[in-house]
Amino acid sequence: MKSRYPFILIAVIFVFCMTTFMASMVEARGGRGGGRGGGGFSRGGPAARGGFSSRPAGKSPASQAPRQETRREQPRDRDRDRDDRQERRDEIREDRQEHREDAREDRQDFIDDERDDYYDHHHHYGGVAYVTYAPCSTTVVIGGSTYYHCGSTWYSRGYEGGDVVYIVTSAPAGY
Amino acid sequence: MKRVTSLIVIGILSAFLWSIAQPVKSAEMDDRQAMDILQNMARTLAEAKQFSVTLRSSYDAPQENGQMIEFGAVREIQVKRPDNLRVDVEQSDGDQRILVFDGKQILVYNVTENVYAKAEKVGSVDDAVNYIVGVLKTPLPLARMFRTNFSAELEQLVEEIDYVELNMLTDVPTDHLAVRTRDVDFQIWIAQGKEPLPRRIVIIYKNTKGEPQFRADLSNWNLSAKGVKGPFTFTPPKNAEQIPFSVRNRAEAGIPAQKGGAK
Repeated sequence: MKSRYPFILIAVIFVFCMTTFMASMVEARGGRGGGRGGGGFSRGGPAARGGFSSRPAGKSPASQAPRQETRREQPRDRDRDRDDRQERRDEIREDRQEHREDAREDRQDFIDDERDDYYDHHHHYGGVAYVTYAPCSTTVVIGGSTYYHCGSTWYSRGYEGGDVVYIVTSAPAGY
Repeated sequence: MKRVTSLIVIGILSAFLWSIAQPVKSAEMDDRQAMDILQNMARTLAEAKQFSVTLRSSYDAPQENGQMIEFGAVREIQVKRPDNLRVDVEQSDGDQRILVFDGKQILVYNVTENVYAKAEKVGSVDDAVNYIVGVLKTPLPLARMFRTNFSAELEQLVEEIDYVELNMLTDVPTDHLAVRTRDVDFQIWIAQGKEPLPRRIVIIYKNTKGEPQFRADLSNWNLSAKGVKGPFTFTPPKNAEQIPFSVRNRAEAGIPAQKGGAK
């Protein structure tokens, strides 16, 4: 009976070592699909997209560009009034032209736009919450779709910014 | 005496012919000529019926503590106009992805995760590139270069341009240009000769803290039909799971929910 103890001890140590090793491997690969590299470094940022332009979200040139002042005092003289009306029409036309140019520039620039939320790995967009790493390892496959059941929260996978992310979703039917 | 004079004349002529045969030096270049080199490159790309290129890139990712960490990727890019595009990506962490556009739909397959997403998109390569980057928010570095209006966009973007030097260290002699735009500064090395294509690009995001950079070496250019083999359709493995293009796309583009179930 005594002779079995060393084997049991070795087996326990072996299992412990393997568990620790596997855990460290999983941690090192940490959320590959979520756009995270080893060591928990952020892979994002303006340079990640390699665009020829970049600007923080919500700061379009159209919103930043100062608009021409179109209001002005009314001169009494009729001729000056007429000149003034013509000038205002020109200014409005100029403003419209400027708006059109800004809009065109926006359409061209949208292609390289980059959001500035690359530090935080918990994201919200349009009322949708998601994380960029696998939130837990408990998965349930329903109708060919994989759900992650983490505590009371359910996640499903989706693409976001070229990466697989984990989106908070309602519990699937039957759960 | 006549013989000496003839020798001098021949010598002068030879020196003149030798000098004009030499590659153009930077001192002789002005801004307009630098712009011409840039535009010639853009037109060559825009007018190509097809091309393939290897894009080996790296970029600085700013961290919360201020440190810049470099990540990278290698992309095999194939464009066959009017409506075929394929990008095979391998990231520095080993993740592999495939993106294909066949004129009707865009499919992105993540080899590592064995998942794919697809979006209906009928149109040209230009339309697909706009959609991939602008709506699906999927990174496609130097995306503007793959559109046919690249030349017109450069005309609008470029605020300053300088000819730096003729670079002899690249695999073929290249014209090194320094370009400034409102948002970024970039340097580009364009091959001299019959195929004036970009060999290297460095982009500096000067308006971002720390001024991170994107760097790319472009090699294996092939503009022949034989060099662009595709395939431009892709059938994911049977056990691959379809997931939705999600989050922003639903909010911004009104893409209906797809198989994958995210709400």
